[in-house]
Amino acid sequence: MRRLPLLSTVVAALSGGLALYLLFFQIPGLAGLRSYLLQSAASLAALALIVGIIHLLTVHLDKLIAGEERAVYSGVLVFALLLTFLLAFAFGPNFSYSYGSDATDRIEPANWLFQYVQTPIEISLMALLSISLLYAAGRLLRRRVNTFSVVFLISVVIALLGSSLVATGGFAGLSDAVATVSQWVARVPAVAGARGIILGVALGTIATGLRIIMGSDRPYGG
Amino acid sequence: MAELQCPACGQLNPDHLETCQHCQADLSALVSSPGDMPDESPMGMEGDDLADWLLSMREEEPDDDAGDEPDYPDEGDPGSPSAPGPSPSSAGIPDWLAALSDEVPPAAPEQPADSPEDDLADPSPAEQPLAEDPPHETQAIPPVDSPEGPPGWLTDLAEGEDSVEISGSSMQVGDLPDWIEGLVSSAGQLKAPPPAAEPETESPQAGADWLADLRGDDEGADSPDSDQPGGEIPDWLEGMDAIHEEIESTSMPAGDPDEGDPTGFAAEDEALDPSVPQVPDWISQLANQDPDPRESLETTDENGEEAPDWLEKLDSMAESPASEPEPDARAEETADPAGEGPTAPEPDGLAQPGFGEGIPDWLDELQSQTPPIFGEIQPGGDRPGEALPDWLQASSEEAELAGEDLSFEEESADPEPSEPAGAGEAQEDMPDWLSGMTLDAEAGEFEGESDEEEAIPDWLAGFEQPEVEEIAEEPDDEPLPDWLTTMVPAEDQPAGTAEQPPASMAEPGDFSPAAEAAGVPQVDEPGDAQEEADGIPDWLSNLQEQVPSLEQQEAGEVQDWDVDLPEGEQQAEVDDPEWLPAGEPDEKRDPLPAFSQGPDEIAPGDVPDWLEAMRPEDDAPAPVAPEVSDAPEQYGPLAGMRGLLSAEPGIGQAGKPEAYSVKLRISDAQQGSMEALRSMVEAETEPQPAGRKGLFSEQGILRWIIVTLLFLVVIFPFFLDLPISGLPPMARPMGNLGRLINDLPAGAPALVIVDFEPGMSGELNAAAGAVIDHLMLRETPLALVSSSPLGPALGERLVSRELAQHGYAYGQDYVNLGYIPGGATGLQNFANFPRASLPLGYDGLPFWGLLNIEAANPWNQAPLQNVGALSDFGLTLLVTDNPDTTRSWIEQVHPKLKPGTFVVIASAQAEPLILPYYNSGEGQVAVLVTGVAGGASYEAFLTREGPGRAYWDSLGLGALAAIVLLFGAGSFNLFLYYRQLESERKGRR
Repeated sequence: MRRLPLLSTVVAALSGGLALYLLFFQIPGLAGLRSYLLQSAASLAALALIVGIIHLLTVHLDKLIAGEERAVYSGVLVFALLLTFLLAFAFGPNFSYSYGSDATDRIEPANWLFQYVQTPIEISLMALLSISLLYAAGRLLRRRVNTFSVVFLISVVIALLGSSLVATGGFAGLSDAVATVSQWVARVPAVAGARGIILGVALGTIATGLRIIMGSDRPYGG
Repeated sequence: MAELQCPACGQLNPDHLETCQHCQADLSALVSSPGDMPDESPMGMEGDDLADWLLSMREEEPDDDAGDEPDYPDEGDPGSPSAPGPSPSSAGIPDWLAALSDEVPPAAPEQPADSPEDDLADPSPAEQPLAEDPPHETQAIPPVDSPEGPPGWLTDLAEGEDSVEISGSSMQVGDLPDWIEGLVSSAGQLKAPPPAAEPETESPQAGADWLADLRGDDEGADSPDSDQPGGEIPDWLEGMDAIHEEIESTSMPAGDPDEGDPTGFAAEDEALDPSVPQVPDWISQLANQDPDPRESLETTDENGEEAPDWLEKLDSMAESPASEPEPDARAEETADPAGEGPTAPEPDGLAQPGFGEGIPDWLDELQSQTPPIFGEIQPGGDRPGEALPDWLQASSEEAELAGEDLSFEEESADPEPSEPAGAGEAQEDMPDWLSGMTLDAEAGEFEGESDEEEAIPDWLAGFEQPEVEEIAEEPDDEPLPDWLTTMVPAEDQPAGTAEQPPASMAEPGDFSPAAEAAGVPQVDEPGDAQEEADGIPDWLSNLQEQVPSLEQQEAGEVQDWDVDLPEGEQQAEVDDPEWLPAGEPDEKRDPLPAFSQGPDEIAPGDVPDWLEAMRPEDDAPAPVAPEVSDAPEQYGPLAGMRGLLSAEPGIGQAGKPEAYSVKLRISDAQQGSMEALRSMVEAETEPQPAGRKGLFSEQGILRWIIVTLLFLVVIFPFFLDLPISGLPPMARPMGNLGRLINDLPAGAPALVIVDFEPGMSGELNAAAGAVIDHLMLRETPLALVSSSPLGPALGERLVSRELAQHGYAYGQDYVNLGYIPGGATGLQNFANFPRASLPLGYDGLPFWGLLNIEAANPWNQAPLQNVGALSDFGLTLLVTDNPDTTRSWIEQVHPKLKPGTFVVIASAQAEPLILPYYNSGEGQVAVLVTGVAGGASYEAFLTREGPGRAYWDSLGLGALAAIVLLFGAGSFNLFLYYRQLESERKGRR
């Protein structure tokens, strides 16, 4: 066990270094190796997803068995998970059951759950988010009145104006002015900040990759 | 008058002469110890001879007064007590006095056998082994007197010991008091109760008292308790005692003479006051000389570099009043039956140069017990290694220049001042003791040495002579060991040689005084040596072992001054160091065999009691033997090695380490702050139950207002179905996307990447619907794929539900490749190996349908039959709401795509982060369609009605409502804020 971190580091460094090398230098004989490494990583990621699902199931099962106060929610989660898994895995994600002669007289259980349960829930959360953000922005000036709060609110208003009827309505010159300002804010300041973020992320990614290859950073543990 | 035949020249000499008048050979030995009878005890002399000798001595008293030679008694006087030896050592009692002492035991039958008298009368070791039967002296010593009793003169002598002493002193002024007084005091012990000290006890105190005894002898002389039965004391001694009493009565003031001076020492001094007319001259000289020893010692100290301990003790004894009679000490001193006590016989050895450095203190004290002999050895030399030449020189110089300045030792040991300058130069240059040693080395050539002996100054001869006789008359039960014999200073040896009896006396095994003085071992056979070794304790053996090395170290010094010797003698010195008995065979010099071969030798492990008592207490714990472990070392640089010494025991068991509290010392205020912070942190992690606020609370009303307003604004356009607003302005030209789709080759599949969440499906379906609708219009085969788990379902929903009017069928018009796990890695893998990375599709087959791999493989479906790589896709359409996912696709997959075919349909929130890739000159993103506005715009481009346009009015109204609410809520809250500030200001006022 004491040598496991060293082994992990060596494997990670060799895998990363070799994949990086094969990325820049196409070596025919080693193309299969590169594919193997990449597929192994993808498989491990999928397996990790399965492991995560199992872990989620066990946690909520434990809560359900323990009879905690809010175990009912865990029960709903477990039930929905098992039902979806059963319908999608057993009958397939696009499994269709025809209950009539018409082409429309059919039901797809897995897609039905997704379309009429999961998607509306998530859309509703997004709607609540918009109302919550609006409410928070309205109370911002009550809790803190400073330059950044004012700037934040002005930016929100300009962005909303660019999507509002003011910008697309027939308000003559107002609409053009609002559209111009909205587009300028979205293309210049926002893109400037976004590019900085992207460059930072790119540099961070390179540094992280090199650290992993060199063994300095071991996010896999040890 | 009897005549004595000189053993050297064979001439007859008057018996009163001590030296041969012809050859100057010493005749005193013949008197004291006949050379032809070496085995006989000195007391073997006939009583008649002894009586004559003593008679002559008494007859010569008037003639031998100290007036002529106050410091140096006449050596030529055979009757002089100096002949027996001036040494105050009890062991140096002349035989004639020893014989007298031997008379005493009958008078004190209760006296132990080891009484001083026994020591004095101890027969020669040849007759009596030392260690086996120490207290047999009285048995071995034949009575001097006839059975009918001692002669009258002896009775007188016994009765008047003081007189003996005085008379003796009169004949030998310089040294007589010491040894004779000791003798007298010893005799006094006979009358005293038996000493409590054990005869064998050789405690340092006993040895230290030896000197006190020497001094106390005088006291004993004065002590009235010294009376002995008159039958055992010779008459002449009694007469001497009477004389002494007379002196005391005359010199002392009225009253008890011993009052205030129990020792009588001072009284004696007073009695010896020369001013007293009744006192003879020699007594006066004696009185004058009594302090001389101390003075001489002091002088010696001044002249010497430093005084040895024994001299200091002697000095202190002289300074302190002799108020402590020490009969026990005397008894001990004189009652050394075995001769193994560190008493008188050892001083020579103790005086050996360098000897004092390696001996214990008690031996130093013992050393102090031998002032006469030791003083003779080192009168002026305190430092052992340097003393011998110096003292000899000083001795000679003193003898030559100022006889009155001679030290006590010289006075007591050198009764021959008559010829101070009579010796030749060679003899003067040569130390006497060395010459004597040389002579002894050639003991068999005694006669031949006589010439050289003549060259010895008379005073030196006399200096040696009494010592020889003293030694000769020492109790034979105390034979000097070889090593001590070798330590005998050479000054003793010339005298011995001068008075050397015939060669037979110097032969090994001879116990004659000459032989002893010459350092000849007292044994001439191994058996004898063994007998002698039997009487030697271990400590003496140890010292003996040390002696050669110490003296060898100083051999160089000896050789320095030895250069002046004549060649022959010098050669002898070179061959034989001075400390070795000259002429002694090598096997006899070495004392070790003799000490180690005795049957009665003390076992090496048997430590005598007295030595055990002296042994220093070892309080320290016994050393712990180091533990050697056979187990291999586990740690450290010695790991793997065996047989290593373990750590010292106790180090690892030093005890439990002191426990140091790690508790932080904080004050109460700090404790309170810490608790507050802890509670705050814990509160953040715990879910706070939603407060049951009233339905019409302040926040509730506001929230309900917001919800109601937004709901009405959003749903209002759907119900009215009126175009409230116009189309949004085209941020980017949509014509490029239209041309790209229109230019797609027939049958060329398009890759649609559905990579968003269901919550964003409303926006992205409206944005992507128009584009996908365009593709379906073009009957472009579609391949759905996603890097999100829900992406395949969303894609399937988008194609089969939203765009169901196109009638796309799975496997014929489109395929769903499914989910690409692994994030960027999976995308990389997919970009490089699309077929291998996604072998199964999201095709709606049950799990048992997966058994048919070929049928389940989407790449074998019609849309993808001609696709081997991503570059085979005519168009890649990415529908995403996540800028990170967009970046991954651009970075990992875009290089594998056909250039200029990558179109991104993104959420409005991701537009700022994706726009840089679109604006880049490399064309990483060919077309960017963002949000509902983008969909509505593309619908307008297509001149088709779609969800984009429908959503756009609702979105526009909702945004406007949000702005209004935001302004209204912001203004209200700002008002509240300033009102709160105003109230606070008022409160402050």
